[in-house]
Amino acid sequence: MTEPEGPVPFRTFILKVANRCNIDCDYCFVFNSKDQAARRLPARMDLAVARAAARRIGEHASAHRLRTIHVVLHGGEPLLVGAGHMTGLLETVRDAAPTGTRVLFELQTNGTLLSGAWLDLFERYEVAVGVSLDGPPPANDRHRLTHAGRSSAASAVRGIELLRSRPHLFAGLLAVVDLANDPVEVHDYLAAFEPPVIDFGLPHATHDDPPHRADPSVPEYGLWMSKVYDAWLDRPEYGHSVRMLEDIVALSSGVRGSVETLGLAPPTSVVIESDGSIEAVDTLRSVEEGATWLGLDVLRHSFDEALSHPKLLHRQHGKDALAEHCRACPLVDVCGGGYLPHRFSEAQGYRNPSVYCADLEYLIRHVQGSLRQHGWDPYAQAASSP
Amino acid sequence: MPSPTSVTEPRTITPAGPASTEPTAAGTAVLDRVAARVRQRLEAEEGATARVGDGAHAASLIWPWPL
Repeated sequence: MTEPEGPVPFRTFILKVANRCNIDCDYCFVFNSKDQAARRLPARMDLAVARAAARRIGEHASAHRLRTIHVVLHGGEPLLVGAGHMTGLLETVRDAAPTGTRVLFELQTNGTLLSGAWLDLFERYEVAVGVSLDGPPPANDRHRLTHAGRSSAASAVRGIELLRSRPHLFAGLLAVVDLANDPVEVHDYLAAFEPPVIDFGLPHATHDDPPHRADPSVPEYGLWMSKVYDAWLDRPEYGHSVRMLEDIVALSSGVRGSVETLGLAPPTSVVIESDGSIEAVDTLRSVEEGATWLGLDVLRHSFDEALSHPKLLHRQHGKDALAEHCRACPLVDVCGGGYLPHRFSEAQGYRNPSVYCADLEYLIRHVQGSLRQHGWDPYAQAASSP
Repeated sequence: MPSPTSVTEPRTITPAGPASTEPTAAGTAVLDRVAARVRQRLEAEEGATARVGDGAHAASLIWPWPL
């Protein structure tokens, strides 16, 4: 195995500020998945933990001379911490950043608790807000119900409409694919909110707990996403990007960095739990109990110690860490072997092709075929531009 | 419940990609915008002194690239 050049520093710090949620999505990787640690963790991150995290983030940014870092306020539902506490968290992190490091705050919410007062606070600290919504109410209601089993769609839409009044704070919309929903209807519904970005996540699944398919002989998720691609190209009036699809285009054009679900670039995100634990990417909670656990915390350990943790180090090896089948695949630079949780099996760990391998292949070939038909050359446009 | 069947092997799909869209003016307009961002990303990576890492957490909407 080729030794990597040295770990790439973390640039994205995901703070689990709340470990409770006011809705109960049945696919949630935090609360309704294999790992149930979130239920045992503090409901919110207290300021002493935030101070320790902020000090470690500042130390890491200084040591690696990072000019920009991303701090993601995540949950659970982050707005459950309350505006006063959130102000303290934001101030703590911002004030600990070294001179010369810009902190970009992002917050991912279900949107149901958004209010004008929240937006005023986000305005003050320049927090970009992403909202999770799976499509029109019947689509969203398949999974995103309240604890009482009621629809959360109307309150989420109310929150998005409020956010649209401050477009500079609107990061975009994040949806989870469900094959039962119409991809074009979902895309067009989300696009009508005029988000700068829409992204789609494939439902978390492993080889031991594979995704639902009506016909396992058909790459249904790839087909679904290829219809989203076609819908995206059909709607130039909206001007949004679709992150997964744009990253497939970018990776196919020689770009190396992308969303962590694609490509071979080493990951640069780390999670800080509400009790201060430093953990591997949170979506691994869908894999098995303890998959994210590193035995490190911000009170006693630096992020450099996390960088060299064996559980994270293998991800720095790129192609060498993949299954043999993937290493030989001509599309590996684009799919990167698929998202880490989706490769998992108890028998072989992460050295498997993704459970979405056929879907990713179908989608990538669909996108690349379309690029060829459109005479794609990112530099041709530059040459012809005034 | 998830299907008990897992797909682990890619199927044979022709390189042109099935049912790709025909080029359209609308598609070209979208791809022109994408091209501008891809160029910026390529140039940023070429100019970077450090190794390139991934850019975005899947479960939130970070978009570190220029829009």
